[in-house]
Amino acid sequence: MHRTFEELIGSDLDDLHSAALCFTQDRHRAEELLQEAAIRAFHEFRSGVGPADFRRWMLGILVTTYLLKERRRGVDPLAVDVGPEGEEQPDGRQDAAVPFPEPGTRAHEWLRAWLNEAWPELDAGDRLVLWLAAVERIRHARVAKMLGLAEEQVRRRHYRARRSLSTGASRLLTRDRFLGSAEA
Amino acid sequence: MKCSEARQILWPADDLRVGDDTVEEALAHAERCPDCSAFLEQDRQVAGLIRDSVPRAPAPRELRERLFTALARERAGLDSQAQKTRAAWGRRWVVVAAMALVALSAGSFALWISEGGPGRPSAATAFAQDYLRRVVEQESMRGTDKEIAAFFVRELGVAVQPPKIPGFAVNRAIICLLNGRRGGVIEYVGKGQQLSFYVIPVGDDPITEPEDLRVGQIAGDLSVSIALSAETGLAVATWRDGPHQHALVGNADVDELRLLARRYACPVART
Repeated sequence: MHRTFEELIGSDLDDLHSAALCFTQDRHRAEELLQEAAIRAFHEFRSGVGPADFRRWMLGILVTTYLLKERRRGVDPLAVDVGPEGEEQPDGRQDAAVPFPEPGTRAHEWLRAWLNEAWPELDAGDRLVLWLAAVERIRHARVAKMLGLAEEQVRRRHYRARRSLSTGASRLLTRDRFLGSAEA
Repeated sequence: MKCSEARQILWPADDLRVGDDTVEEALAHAERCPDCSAFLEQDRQVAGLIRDSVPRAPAPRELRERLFTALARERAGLDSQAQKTRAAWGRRWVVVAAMALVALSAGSFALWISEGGPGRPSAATAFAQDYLRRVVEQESMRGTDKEIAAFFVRELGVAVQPPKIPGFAVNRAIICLLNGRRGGVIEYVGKGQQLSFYVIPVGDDPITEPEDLRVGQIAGDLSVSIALSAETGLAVATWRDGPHQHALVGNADVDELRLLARRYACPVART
């Protein structure tokens, strides 16, 4: 038996809400976005779609609706694509890697909490790409198609966002006070 | 191969890639180069941490309800179009039956479901209309009691365990739309009869006490008044239990439905 649109979206609603909240960084706007995207998707929905395909398809509509809504209010999250020099490509100039704490340690938990709070600091476009590429694990080529960007632009944004979090985490880990208190 | 080339080829480190000659060469470089292997290892760890630490925010119940109500309205709009098409293809008898029923039952109850008032059908009429509409309705869910409860949690935000009624078996669970409000219906079959048990979340909407026949108080800590109505072959019982409007509709006679309704009017499991 085919699952209805309501059944399919009901299963993914928490994840879609998390995505909407990550994109907009505002609870009210996230709810508006999700509702508008769901209504659009409802009208475009054709039965027979499996849960995995539905999720990817629905996410695409959420992203498109997000970009449309943002552009409607004069903001384009993908308009500016300039990062600090040296943070555009994974080249050989990066700082030496800092060993990350083992999962299950207090330092690891602290790092997770820090990362959780670091998301809002990212550029809106980079954050969008990071969610799609790193959290949803959608390939760069597909993300590029969803966002109407070149694959290289997606890769660059993904790298910049990831490096920003990685650098911040490394700095945090090298601070004596952090290490001292985390292991205490 | 230079470090920068190897890193560009192998990043992101958690991605699967086709192992062509270039990738093989980059991997060989990374194995020999401590900086590159540390870079890639850290990238893998960061990727794991990002996925692990991503801000998760479950959809609030109010959003869920608002969204599904909006979807129900959209669906009702589509359904009315589909019904027109079906009527054109020779299913007019359903419409005729519904109209006859509506005419007979109009004004029989003073209990209104939600945005009630003049111009809207009474509770009994609305339930009877829905019962008939589902004769040609195709969307439903069949499963165990647990699966049905999960279905209602997902769709309505309310865990409705199908009440167990001796001699009747659960046939299916459905989401219905009554006066623009979404609700759940559990259909039962048994003893040559079909029963539909309704649960409509109405929140804090004011209660208008039914003026029809009261069939008594339910034992225990739940005390409800049940209103009964007979509608040419269909019997309808309605009652209110906290934030939920209930109804039992079936092709039984009123006396039989009176007894059955008492069994249904017990607290449903909710979370």
